[in-house]
Amino acid sequence: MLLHTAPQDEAILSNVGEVGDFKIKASAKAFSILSSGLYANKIRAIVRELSCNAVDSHVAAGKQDTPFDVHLPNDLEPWFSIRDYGTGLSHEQVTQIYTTYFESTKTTSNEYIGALGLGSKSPFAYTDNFTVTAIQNNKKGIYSAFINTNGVPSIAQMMTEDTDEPAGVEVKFSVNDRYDYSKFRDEARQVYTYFKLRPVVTGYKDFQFSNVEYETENIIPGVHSYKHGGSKAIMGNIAYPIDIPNADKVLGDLRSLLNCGLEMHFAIGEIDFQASREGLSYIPSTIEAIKNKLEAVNAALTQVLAKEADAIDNLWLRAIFLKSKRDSGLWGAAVIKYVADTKFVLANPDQKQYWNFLKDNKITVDELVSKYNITVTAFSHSTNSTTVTNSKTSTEHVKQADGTHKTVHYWPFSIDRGARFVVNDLNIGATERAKFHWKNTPKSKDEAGTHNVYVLARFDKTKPMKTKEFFAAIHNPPEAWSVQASALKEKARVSGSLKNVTILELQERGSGGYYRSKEMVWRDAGKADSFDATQTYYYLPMSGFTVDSKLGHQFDIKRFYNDMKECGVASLKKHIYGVRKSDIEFIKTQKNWINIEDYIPQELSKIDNKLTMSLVLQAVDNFNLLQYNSNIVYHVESKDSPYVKLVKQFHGFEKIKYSEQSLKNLCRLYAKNVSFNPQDTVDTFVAQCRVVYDRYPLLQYLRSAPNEQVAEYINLIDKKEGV
Amino acid sequence: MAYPFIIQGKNIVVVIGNKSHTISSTHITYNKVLDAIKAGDWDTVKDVIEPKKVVLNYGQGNVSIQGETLFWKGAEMHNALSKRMIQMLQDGFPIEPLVLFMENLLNNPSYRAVNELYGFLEKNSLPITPDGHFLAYKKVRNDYMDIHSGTFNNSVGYICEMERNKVDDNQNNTCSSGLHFCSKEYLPSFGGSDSRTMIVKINPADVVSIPTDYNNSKGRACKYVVVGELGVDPDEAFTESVQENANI
Repeated sequence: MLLHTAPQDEAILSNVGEVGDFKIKASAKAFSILSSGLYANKIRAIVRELSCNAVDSHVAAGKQDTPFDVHLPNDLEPWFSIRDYGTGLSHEQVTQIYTTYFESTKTTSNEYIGALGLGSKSPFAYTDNFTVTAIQNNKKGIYSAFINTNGVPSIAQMMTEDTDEPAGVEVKFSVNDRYDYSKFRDEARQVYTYFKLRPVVTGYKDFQFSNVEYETENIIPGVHSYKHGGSKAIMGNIAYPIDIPNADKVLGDLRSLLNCGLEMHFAIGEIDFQASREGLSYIPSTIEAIKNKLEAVNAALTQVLAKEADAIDNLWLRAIFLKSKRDSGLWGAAVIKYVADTKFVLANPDQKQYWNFLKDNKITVDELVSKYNITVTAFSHSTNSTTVTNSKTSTEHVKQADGTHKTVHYWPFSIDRGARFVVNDLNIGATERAKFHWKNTPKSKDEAGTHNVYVLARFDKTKPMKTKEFFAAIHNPPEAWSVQASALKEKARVSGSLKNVTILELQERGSGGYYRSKEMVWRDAGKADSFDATQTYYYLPMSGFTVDSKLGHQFDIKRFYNDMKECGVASLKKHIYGVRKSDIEFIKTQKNWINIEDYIPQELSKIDNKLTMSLVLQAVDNFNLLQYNSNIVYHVESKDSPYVKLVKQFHGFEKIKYSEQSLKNLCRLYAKNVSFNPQDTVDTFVAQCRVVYDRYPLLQYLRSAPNEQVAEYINLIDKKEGV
Repeated sequence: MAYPFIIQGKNIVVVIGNKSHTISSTHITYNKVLDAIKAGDWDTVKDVIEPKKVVLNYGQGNVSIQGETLFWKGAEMHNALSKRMIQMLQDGFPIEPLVLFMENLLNNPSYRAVNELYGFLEKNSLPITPDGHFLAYKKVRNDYMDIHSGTFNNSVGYICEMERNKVDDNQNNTCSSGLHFCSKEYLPSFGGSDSRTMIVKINPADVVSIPTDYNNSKGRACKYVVVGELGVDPDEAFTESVQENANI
């Protein structure tokens, strides 16, 4: 590669003293800086520099299409080597040119990647010792390059002989650290990404080159874009990151293009790079070359964009298209250029703030009336909500001629892909109908998100609206976006049919924490006609959500529900429904619907001895031993045993868990004629029980004992005490 | 004849015939090359300068090399074993334990068990014994009975054995029937504070499965021999790729 190093202007000296040139001292320090200190990523530098030399050598030999060989280190062959098939080197070249820093044969032509005369020394960045095998004109020489005891690079010829091996150079060195094997592999993969001709890689099983995937190829010839990431400059197989200092100032709007993952290919010599080749050198010519390329890219993008935008006739749709492109870094500058070039009416001329890119179509409320005989109501709907929200006009404070301010109300009619217009062609208001329509219509893809619906109605009902003029004033949103109110969905009128009777169901709240969970709520149980006509349902008449009880204000729904549940009368354990006032007459005609307040006294009057005894049993039998148990009775020998006598009285009765208070409550409220007073019976039995428990003192401890053992104990006592 | 060479820092460069060889201090044969050069033993230098050749010699005809891949009697060697072999070579052990290990391994009737065992050996640097078995750990109760059932005596010298088809061979059943063994990584995960850690010797033919939990650090076998009790830090216990004193 040609280097521009000589100054453009010659120094003109006059009346100066002695002139002395600066020099570089050939010291260990200098060599170390040039071969090791130069590179941040040393392994990558070696792979890159030696590979570039191999490519250059192939170019010099006219063998551009022949790949060179790379050997990656592994356990069995722990070395890295690069063998090219180029021009090779003579003994003189190895000992003179190869070993001289800044000596390069390639500075006269841009065909070569190299130029600095540093790359061939790069292995010293990793090792103190590498071998060079040079073959040229059937002569082969093996040289060992090493850092001598003074820290200065030296080269020793190890061997020379005649050979018929193809000309070329092999550079080889041992990789000391096993953990570096994979680093050499990874760096090779990275470096060869942009090599036009990939080398033949050995030493690593299944080595794979990394390939680049583009989003857009050839935006202009030689410029591609990736989906993400910073931009790169590619020159002579090498990728350089682009990181221009003060890029905002230097590049202006084009700066954003660099964030779009552009890959820009430059001819060798077009841009300058750092001596390490790890980055570009931002001399004016480099910046100029990058800027030119970006301008060309932007011009191409503008052209493509303009073609696409111009093809969209509707201004709203074009504006929406431009906005979507405006937000992408790649197209942003092109959009700005397009807007400026075409003086696009719906974009703000000053669009530094991207959120402010599109202009609203402001029309004041007064203007809508005076010019178009239109009054507007609007609401917004949202993807995640089943409701709609009324929208208000925007306000602005306008300075009057006399210096005072006036508040002006206006509609912005913002450009939005989801905005819709309803033209009211009915004689009644259309806003509610429109709301119903939007609540009950599946939304189109464009309507995802939150969007406005504008309902346009006549201000003066006797005159028509000037809709055509209105739409023209807001630059004609697509025709498909406006609809006549008469075409909207309409809410079905509720008819008076009894089929619409709604039944409520009494339930415990069941949620809301400990205190609220016991509260009673009425829940919707469905339409009356959805109930099974063969089943019987029990209801309470309602007035709103309050029970219209026969008891009047005495009625307490919570206590009522609890008493019904706890009273122990099985037939009173019912689901309770509620029937509204308006529906009560209908329900009364249904035979399977029974007012539960009529039903309660009926059931309470049926309380008989059986229930009473069951309830008594519950009251006295704490140990589950008094309930009649035929297995125990069978084993008791004496049929006159006091135990048997007692339990026989409970024969046929089951213990029922109940709340005496609940039962008494119901009786008191609903069945004044039914006097339920089991206490006398209970008292009688309690006395009997106490006698039995006294007679059989250990009986209460036998509640989990087998029946035979209980009986055996009873027999023992009976025998001892006599019957 | 003497070959031209440069010894410098970590590297040796020797040119033999028309070929340069370069080797660094961490490579398996570096010391052999260095010693041979110092002794002027050029025939040995020629033999040991190429790691490949050294490996082939070491393998005694069992090993062949294609590209970067090692083959054992014609079948590709698993990475776990090729690494182990090179380690043994570097440590100066004879190849015989590995030869016996491979023979034992080939006697394992289950293809899956063999493959799972490779993963176990790769994760855990458990030593091979001279008779071609390998060593692993086993946690037992304070009275040397097994922790799970308390029925197997794991005192030193005991052989624990059960029918192979009674051992769960599904690696996804992570806790199941079988004689369990483990590596150092698994030790803290199992057993109480008064448990003991035994060293067990397992024939690779007797390995049934390596459960997938605990990152390949435990296994199930149908037979093992208890060869010792761990009295030191498990970090110190298994340091050599071949454990010479493991035979009872």
